[in-house]
Formats: sequence, C-alpha cells, structure tokens
Amino acid sequence: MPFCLEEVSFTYAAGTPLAVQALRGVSLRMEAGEVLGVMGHTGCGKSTLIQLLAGLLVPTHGRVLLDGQDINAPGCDRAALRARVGLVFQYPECQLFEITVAKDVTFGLKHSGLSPAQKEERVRAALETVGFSYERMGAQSPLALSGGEKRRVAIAGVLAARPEILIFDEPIAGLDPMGRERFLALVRRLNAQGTSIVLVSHNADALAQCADRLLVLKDGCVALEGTAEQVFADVEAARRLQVDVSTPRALGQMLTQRGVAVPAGAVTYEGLLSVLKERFCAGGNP
Amino acid sequence: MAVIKGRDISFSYGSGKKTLDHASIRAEAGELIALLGCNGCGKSTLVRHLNALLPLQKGELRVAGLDARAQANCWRLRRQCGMVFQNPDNQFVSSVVEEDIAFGLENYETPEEEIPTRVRAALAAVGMSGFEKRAPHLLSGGQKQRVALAGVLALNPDIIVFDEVTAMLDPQGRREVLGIIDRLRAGGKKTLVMITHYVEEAVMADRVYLMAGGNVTAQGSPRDILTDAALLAQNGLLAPLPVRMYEDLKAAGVPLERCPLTNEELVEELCRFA
Ligand SMILES: Nc1ncnc2c1ncn2[C@@H]1O[C@H](COP(=O)(O)OP(=O)(O)OP(=O)(O)O)[C@@H](O)[C@H]1O
Ligand SMILES: Nc1ncnc2c1ncn2[C@@H]1O[C@H](COP(=O)(O)OP(=O)(O)O)[C@@H](O)[C@H]1O
Ligand SMILES: [Mg+2]
Ligand SMILES: [Mg+2]
Repeated sequence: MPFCLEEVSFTYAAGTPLAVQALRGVSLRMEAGEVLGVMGHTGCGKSTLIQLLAGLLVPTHGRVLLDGQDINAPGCDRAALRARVGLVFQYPECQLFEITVAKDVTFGLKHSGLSPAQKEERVRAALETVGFSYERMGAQSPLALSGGEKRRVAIAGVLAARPEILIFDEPIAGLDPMGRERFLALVRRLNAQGTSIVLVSHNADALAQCADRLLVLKDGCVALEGTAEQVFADVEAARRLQVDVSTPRALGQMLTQRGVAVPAGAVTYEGLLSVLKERFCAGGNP
Repeated sequence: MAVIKGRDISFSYGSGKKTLDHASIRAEAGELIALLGCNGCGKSTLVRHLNALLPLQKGELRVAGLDARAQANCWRLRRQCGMVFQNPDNQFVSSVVEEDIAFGLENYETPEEEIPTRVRAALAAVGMSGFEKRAPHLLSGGQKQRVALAGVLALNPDIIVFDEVTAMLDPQGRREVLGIIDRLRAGGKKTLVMITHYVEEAVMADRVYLMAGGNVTAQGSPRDILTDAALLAQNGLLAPLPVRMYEDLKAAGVPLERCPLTNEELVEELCRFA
C-alpha cells in the first residue's frame, strides 16, 4: 500500500499568464494504516495535494505512486484507483447531487459489482456510521439538509465504498461538538480496521487527538513534519508557519511561562489533564 | 430597544415535520448575540426568517421595526438584515472585488454617483482597502469572508447575521474575521447575530442563546450559559475546554474555586492554586 509523492509540483493553468504554482517539489511517503494530518494556511496547497493523491489532478512534475505504480501512467486502472482511494471534498454540497440521500450514498457503488441488496446494506451501514437512520434519512433530498447534515451524508457516501485509503478535506468544519467527537471516533475505528487516512484540517485539537503524523505546508512546500508532540513543541515556530498549536499545548505553554511547568508533549486534553492531576492532586502538590 | 423581537415562531419546510417549534428570540440594538445548537436544530432556519428568506408561517416577528408577516416588507427586510455564510467561495457574483460590492448596491437602486464612495467605505471598514481590483477567488479565506461582509456593509443594514462564517477559515483568517465582528460590535451601530459551533467564539457575545429541536431552550450571559456544563449537555453541546478541565480537576479532588470561561482564566485559576 505505501502511497508516495515523488518531488511533485503542480501548477494550475500552466503555460498561461494565469499560471499559479500550488505545490513545489513535495515528497511524501505514507505507510499502510497511518493517520496523516495535513495543516497549513489558506492557499498553501492542501486541497491540491489531496486531489493529486486521489488522482483528480495530474502532477506538472514528479510522480504519485501507489504500491510502487505511477497512478498517472497510461496503463493504470483508474476505476480500481477510485475504488481504493475515497475523497470527501472540502465543500460537501459540491458532492451531493442525487435526488435522495440513499441514492447519493449509493452513487459511489455504481461500478462495485454488488447486488442491490448488498448495496443497500452498505448504504444503511454507512449512514448509521455517521449517526443517521436509513429509514429516517434515506428518502430525504440532500438539498433539504442543514450544513452539518450535508457533511455527514457526504462522508457516508465515501464510506459506503469501503476504500482502503480515505482522504478528508476539512471534514470537521460545520460539525457540532458532538459530531466532531463522533467523527474523530470514526477515524480511529476505521483506522483500527486497517484504513489509512489523510485528514486535512485547521483544527489542531482534532489532529493532536488522532493523527499519527502531521505535515505542515507553507506556500506549496512541506515546512514541518513529525508527530503532534514534535510539531507543536515549538509554539512560536508553528505560529510563524501560520498554524495553531492545539489548545492543550497552548495552555501548557502559558502555564509553563507562569511557573507551572507542563511538558511540551501534553498536546491532547487527556495528556494535559493527567499532567495537571499529577501536579495538583493530593500528594502531588509541592 | 429590541431590534429583533420574535415570539413563538414555528416553521415547517413541508412534509409535516416542524423545524421550528415556538422559537423565541430577541436582540437589543447594538448587541452581539450568539446562537448555539446541534446540527439540524434549526439555527439557520431561524435566522433566515430575519431577512425574509423564509416566510413567517406562525408566530410574531418584528425586525428593525418591520413586521415580518407583511409580504410588502420583504424587500426592506432583506436590506435591513444582511447575511454572511460559511462557504467563502460561493458568495461572489463578479470576478472583481469592487464590482461584486457595487452589484449589491445597484440591486437596491443606489444612486450611481454614490456607489464608488460606498464601495470604498465598505472595504475600508473590513480592512480591505487596496483590494478593489482583485479577483475574489484568488484571496485567502479570511479575506474572502471580509469582502463578503463588505458587500453586506455597503447596504448599511441595521442587522448582520454571521452563519458559521469562520468554519472554513485558517487560524489567521478566523482571527481577522472575529476581529472585524468585534470592531463592529464596539461601534455599537449594528445588531449582530452569530451562529457558531465553536463555543470559544460565543464567549465574545453579549448574550448567548441555545437551541435544540427547533426550540430556543436557554439564554443568558456567556458566563452563565457556557460554564453550565449540565445545561450544555442537555442541549447536546460540549462545554468550552477550560470549563471541562475545571470540572475534571475538581472531580479528581483539586479544590479549584472559580469556574473559568477562557484559557486565560483557567491559567489564572491554576496559578493561584499552585
Ligand atoms: N430547504 C429545506 N427543505 C427541507 N428541510 C430543510 C431545509 N433546510 C433545512 N431543513 C431541515 O430543517 C432542519 C433544520 O435545519 P437548519 O439548516 O436550520 O439547521 P442548523 O441548526 O442551521 O444546522 P447546522 O448546524 O448543521 O447548520 C434540519 O433537520 C434540516 O434537515
Ligand atoms: N482551480 C484553480 N485554479 C487556479 N488556481 C487555483 C485553483 N485551485 C487552487 N488554486 C490556487 O492554488 C493554490 C493552492 O490552493 P489550495 O490547494 O486550494 O490550498 P488550500 O487547500 O491549502 O487552501 C492557491 O494559490 C490557490 O489560489
Ligand atoms: Mg482547501
Ligand atoms: Mg446552519
């Protein structure tokens, strides 16, 4: 499964006066079963990067390799690629176009070769996974949903195909706090079942909770790479790259500056809570 | 004086299901109110009544002194109450910033000689002077939202509704937009309604409303509402991180005293204790 970008550059409208270079020589290797978080300022190239991974854009330079195969080589099976790599777009309304939610979620199974009953089973399971009942939601028009509901349906549509690699572009935007937690639990569950996941998000708290590794892009280049603990260790460096560190890490730094030392590795809520308990609970109090 | 006065508003999109069920909401002139609630609880549906994007089916609603029931007020309501939405990319009709803002003014039959001045003033108000000739789609997310807001400000509405305007933004874009909202509030001339899923953003409001299942279930100061973890949970919401941390530490036996609302307050409380 290893998924690689080899020195990939991408330019929109290449060769015209409107050319915009969105990625500059990005190399990346993703292992099977990994959750990779991608952060960076608007326009740094996150959406471009994942469209290249999903084979929706073709590199101007460099190659995208899945299992060592160039996915843009002439002989490469595009249908097989689409079945293996699922992408949930940044704006879910761009992804919903069928007349009912059930049809929409089924759409990705068109070429799956599954029987109608099997398809329905998949759709039912996918809707349940995002917290909807097939009976109550299936017959609704996607246009008649609230913003957060649309996002959940878009996620279900990609889950139904059970791809081995799932890519989410800003999946948390517009989800309510419980929806956010449910989504993160879903990422962990899918990952435990072997799915590799790419998560593009501005939400440092969410990424700290579930990404094995973070990639920070700046102006089309990889500026920083490592675990959340590593990437958020230097709060000022992160700020210079225009990304936020997680709230627990920011709190830890504020406390440290005020004389209550908190290790930089406390980047999640649980991490910070256990440090504070240790320090302030009976016995731990200096 | 109440600029928004809505009582017992009920609404159904059809199909019999009541999306709003006796929802009441009120905002005084110059205040910033925040509306919190789960996905699908009816926040956007409620605010779409404020500028007559949706017709009032049941209940009472007066906005800027206009009765929302009267069909004849529809056009004036739309102008009195501007809206900015979540998606920074689909709020523009023109490929030039100044034309996009002028378009709204032309729509409302602004005298032609006034238009350039008003476009410039609106862009200045959101800190985007100098971007007149730029293409909206090439701006950053925060800049797009500020231009969208300028388009609304140019019409000089009494009320501005922000429906999850920071959801898609990076940290800097979010700070830019929240900064502008705060500045408008300080100006005291506009009544502002903000829908958000980030409880930390609701902290800046003068008053917070909670919604659940088509109903407005609670209202109060940010401190009263947002530090009440049980109330928030009842409405399917999660308390701000400092509040949860405070509760968890107390439960573990740390005798903290004041429930903090912000990160700064949590740090204060912990340092006081240390
Ligand atoms: N145009 C429509 N036609 C029919 N039903 C709709 C329509 N728009 C919204 N609804 C339904 O009305 C309910 C409330 O939707 P609304 O958009 O007001 O929610 P919301 O509180 O803004 O949610 P979110 O946080 O997800 O944006 C939802 O159950 C939604 O499915
Ligand atoms: N369809 C497009 N045509 C031209 N330029 C584009 C297009 N999409 C994105 N860009 C430009 O490419 C750069 C990277 O964009 P994008 O990958 O969308 O960034 P991000 O997702 O990190 O915000 C930006 O400068 C953006 O303006
Ligand atoms: Mg993007
Ligand atoms: Mg909404």
